[in-house]
Order: sequence, then structure tokens, then C-alpha cells
Amino acid sequence: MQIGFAYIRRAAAAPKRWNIVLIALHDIVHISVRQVFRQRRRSLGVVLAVALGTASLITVLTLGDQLKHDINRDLDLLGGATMILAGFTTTDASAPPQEFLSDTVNAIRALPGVEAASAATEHVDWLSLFWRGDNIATPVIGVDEDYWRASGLSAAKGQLFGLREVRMGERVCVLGEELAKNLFGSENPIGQYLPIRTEIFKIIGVVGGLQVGDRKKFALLPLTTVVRRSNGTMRADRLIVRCRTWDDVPVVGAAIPGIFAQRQDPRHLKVDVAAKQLARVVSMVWWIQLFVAVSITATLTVGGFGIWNGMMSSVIARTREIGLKKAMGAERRDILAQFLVEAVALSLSAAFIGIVLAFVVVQTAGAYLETNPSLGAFLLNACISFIFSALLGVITGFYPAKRAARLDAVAAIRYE
Amino acid sequence: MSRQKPIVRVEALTKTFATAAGGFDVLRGVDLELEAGEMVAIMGPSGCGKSTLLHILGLLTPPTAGRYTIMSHDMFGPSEDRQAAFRREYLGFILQSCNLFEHSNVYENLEYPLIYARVPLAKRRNIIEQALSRVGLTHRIDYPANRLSGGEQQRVAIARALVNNPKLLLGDEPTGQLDRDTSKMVMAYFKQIVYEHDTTMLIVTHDPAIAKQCTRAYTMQEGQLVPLMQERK
Repeated sequence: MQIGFAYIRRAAAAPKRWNIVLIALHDIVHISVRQVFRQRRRSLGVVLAVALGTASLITVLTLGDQLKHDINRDLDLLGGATMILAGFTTTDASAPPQEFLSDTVNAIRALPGVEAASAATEHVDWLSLFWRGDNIATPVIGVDEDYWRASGLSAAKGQLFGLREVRMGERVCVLGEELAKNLFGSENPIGQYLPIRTEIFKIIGVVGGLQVGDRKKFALLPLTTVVRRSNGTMRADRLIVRCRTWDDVPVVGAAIPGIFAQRQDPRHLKVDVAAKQLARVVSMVWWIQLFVAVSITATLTVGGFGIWNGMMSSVIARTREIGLKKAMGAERRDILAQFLVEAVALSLSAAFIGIVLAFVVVQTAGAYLETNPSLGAFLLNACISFIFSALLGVITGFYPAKRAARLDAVAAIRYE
Repeated sequence: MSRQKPIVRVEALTKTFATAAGGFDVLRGVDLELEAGEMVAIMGPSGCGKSTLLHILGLLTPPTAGRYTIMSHDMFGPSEDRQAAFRREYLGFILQSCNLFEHSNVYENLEYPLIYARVPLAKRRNIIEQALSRVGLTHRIDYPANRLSGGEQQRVAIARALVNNPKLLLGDEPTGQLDRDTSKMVMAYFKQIVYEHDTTMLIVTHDPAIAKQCTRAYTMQEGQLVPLMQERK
């Protein structure tokens, strides 16, 4: 026993340490967590409110970017708010024909905020297709490997050609859904061969999707294949740029002429940004975001007030306990630390529940919305929410804790 | 009987409470000396100032004037934190009732003073077991405090007051809510602790039977201590 008391004497005999030494952190945490756990029924409502707020916050933050990206993609149905189109306009018939060189396209692809940039032929070439005894005039365009992503198209059947086919100028083609149906009916066109003019092209895919539009009637060939066979009538005179989000559209739109001018003659270049649609979409989404933010703030505020109110009640209910602890030698900061850590323990336990809840919601919503939420983004947002919850606990618990620490010991001991 | 050198010395202690009608003097120059191994009772009617004296000696409330030393250390130190440290080192409190933290077990109740005294976790159980052994409750160490009988609860409170090995034990009506037999048993523990461990104890009580068991007894009259009984060891 003498060993134990020696510590007490040493602590008391070191006046300088009194000013800096708080009771051990593990003791504060242990006492506070134990208290919160033992009074868990009283705190359940508050914890759930903060947990719901935290779960909403994490869900919105995690799915927000992905949803914004998806909304951007889907909004192209309403007019291509995130798409920038560039081409050449001139009334001068003697002006030499212009096209987008691959260096220029690559430089535009490298711009921040660009999801995809594709060079294609602006004009449609109507080519004769000799098919099962009929001569069918078929609209053909040449596109590069990035056309699918830039235009939001996907393969309904087979696959879409890529960089290798474009570089090699291969004789492959992708058919629009309607054209494929007209030509093959219920037969599978993939792997079959199509005679266009005097050459045979292998069908490797059928392009579909909501955004296919008129292209459902087209045959899409590698850009190089079309240009080489056109005797100079077809060239890469259309540029399609898809931005990652609508926030990137004005910046990318403004940067394209400069990038182009560094590499090519900029005369007659015309860049079209759907400014009105963009403004409308941004405004609509801003209101949605505001509504969500207000809802989350309201939930967390209610939770925060709940913690504050719960801690105030706890201080009143435990007045005598505080007096006894002071009589035992607890300093103000010991009492303050205990109540503050209790508030933080409450908010962090709520955050933990919120994170678990958010994980379930994000996974479910991800599956429902057909998006693939990033685990890294989820973990980052979970960390942010955890820190935010700790701050919420500190802010809402500070005043009750301070009040507890400042209680008069005699009045507290006599409190019934 | 020859007197030892006092370890607790109180000189000219006064306490004035401000009221709407002006200052009210509760203590008017209290002088008191306590030796090691002494158990002293203070009696008096309600409101006479005996609890105020106890709270001042427990460093829970400041006096208006006066001097108070334990083992020649000036107890009215400059800061609240230093006084808290004095409480941890020199003082132990036993109150009338509701002394224990009811949602904690016996071990946890006794652990608090050690936590505040920054005693390492590894040392605590041994100290707590020895404090409980002084009141015969070692077997209740992990028992919930709110399931103990009244007498056991008060014995745990005594053990908690002793866990830091204080020089001065302050009892504010420590047997006030106990029945006669339990009071006797608790007083027997007090005597044993005081005499065997040279602890000094000051008890505020209404009960003359308790006062009779003390070494000395005083009554508080008009803010001053008047001896009732001297030196009965």
C-alpha cells in the first residue's frame, strides 16, 4: 500500500505539475464512455438523430459526385448540357478545308475537366450498300475511338471499335440498332460481313442506348477508314467534347480556342456551348443541393441541441456526484474533461452508427441508381463526418461541461 | 495526559455570509487544534455553523479570515487547483447519505479518488482492496453500490475516504441516517481507523451518543467552539 500512496504524495508534492497534468486520458475516456453506456436509454433519441444526420451527410457527399456525373450524362437527353461541339464555319468557298488534327484533339483531351474528346466527320456520307439483292443508300459517318464516351453511346450487342481499329483503318463497322434490325431482322449481325461500295466490312457491334438518336439508322466506321476512302470529301471536321460536370463546361469551352490556336489556324473555328441549358440545369441542381443541405443541417442541429440538452439535464441530475468528486480532489478541468468527453462519446457513437447506416444506404442506392460509389470517397467522407461529429460534441458539450466544472462544491454536495 | 504536537491547527477562523440585511457572521474566531489519532465531535443546533466549519476545513468553501494548517502546510493556498491537491493528499470526506455513485460498483467508487490523485491503474486494485479490508468489505469489491445495505454503503464511503490515506477525516453526520446498531458498528470502524492509523477525525453530529465516543467534543455557540468534554481516550 505504501507504494500506492507514494504516488499520491509525489503528485501532491509537485506543485508545478498541478497546472499541467490532467487525469490520464484513458481514465477520462473510460469513465465517460462507461457513463454514456450506462445511460444509453436516455441518450438513444439524440444518438439516432445525429446518426441519421451523419448518414445523410456521408451519403450525399459520397454519391454526390457520382450522381452529378450521372445526371450530367443523363441530362444530355435534354440537350447536352455538358457537351461542347466544335466545327468550322466559313462563307468563303475558296478557303481551304479544315480539320481537327490528332495532336489538337489529344491536347484537348488532356484539359482538366474533359471526360472525353472525339474527332468525327461532320457530314454524313450516303454510301451504297448492296444487300441481299437490294441497293440501299446508307448514312455512314467516321468516328474515332473516343466517340462512344464523348457521345454517351454504348454497345447494345457485340463491341465498339477502339484505338487499334482506328489507327489501322480496319474494315470494321458498328451499326445503329434500327439499321441492324432492318438488315438482319432477328438474326444476330455480329460477325457478319457487310458490302459497302466495293469492300466488305465486318460488323463487330450494334450501338444503342437512350442517347443514340438518329444514329440508330447509321453505320459507324473508323474515322481513318472513312477519310482514306473518301477522296478528300470527308475529314475530321467535327469535335465532340464531353465535360465531366457542368462546372467544367465554361472553363473547357473557353480553353478550346487557345489550345487549337497553338497548333492550327484558328480562323473559322466555332465552339458551341449550350449556355442556356447549362444555366437551367445548374440552377435546378443548386436548389436540390440547397434543399438537401438544409435538411442535413436541420437534422444535425436538432441532434446537437439534443446533446446539449441531454448534457445539461445530466449535469443537474448529477450535481451531487460532481460535489462529491470535487470533495475527493477533482479539479475543475477534471470535471470539465469528463463531461466534455461524455458529449464527444455521445456524438461519436452516433457518428459510428451513422457511418454503418450510410454504408448500407450508399451500397443500396448505388445498386439502385446503377452507379459504382468509390470506397475511397466513402472512407474519406466517413472520416470527415467523424471529425465533424467530434466537433459537434465539443461545441454542444462545452457549455454544460463548463457549468458542471464551475458548480460550487458545497451547494453541489447539499443538492437533493 | 501530555498533549502531542497538533497536526491540524485552526486559528481565528471567521466566516461571514452576505445577506440582504447585511453581513451574517457564522463563525466568529474559531480556534481548534487536533492531534494525530484524535476523534473530535462538534455538536450544535441546525444553522449554528458546524457544517460551515467542516466545509471550510475541507477546503470546499473559503473562510472570510483566519489561518488553517495541516502538518504546518498552509491550507488556504493561492489557487483552487492547489486546494484540490491538498484535498487529495490530506483530507477525506464522509457525508450523511447518498455518498456513493449508485450506478458504479464498489471498486469504481473507490477508484475515483485514486484517479484524481493520478495513481497508475496497475496500483489501484491493491490499494482499494486494502482500504476495503479496513472496513471488512473486501468480498464486496465488484458488487453494485446500489445493492448494498445502508450500513455497507456507509462502510464503503469510509473506505473511499480512507483510500488516499488522509491525515484528516471529516464526517458530516456520518451516522445520521443509520439505525442504532449500524451506527455503533460504523463508530467502531472510525475508532479503529483513528487509533490504529493515527488519523485525525472531526465529526459533526447531533447525536450525544456519538459525541460521547469521541476523544473530545465541542458545541458551536454564537460562532465559536465551546468545549463539552476533554481528553477521553
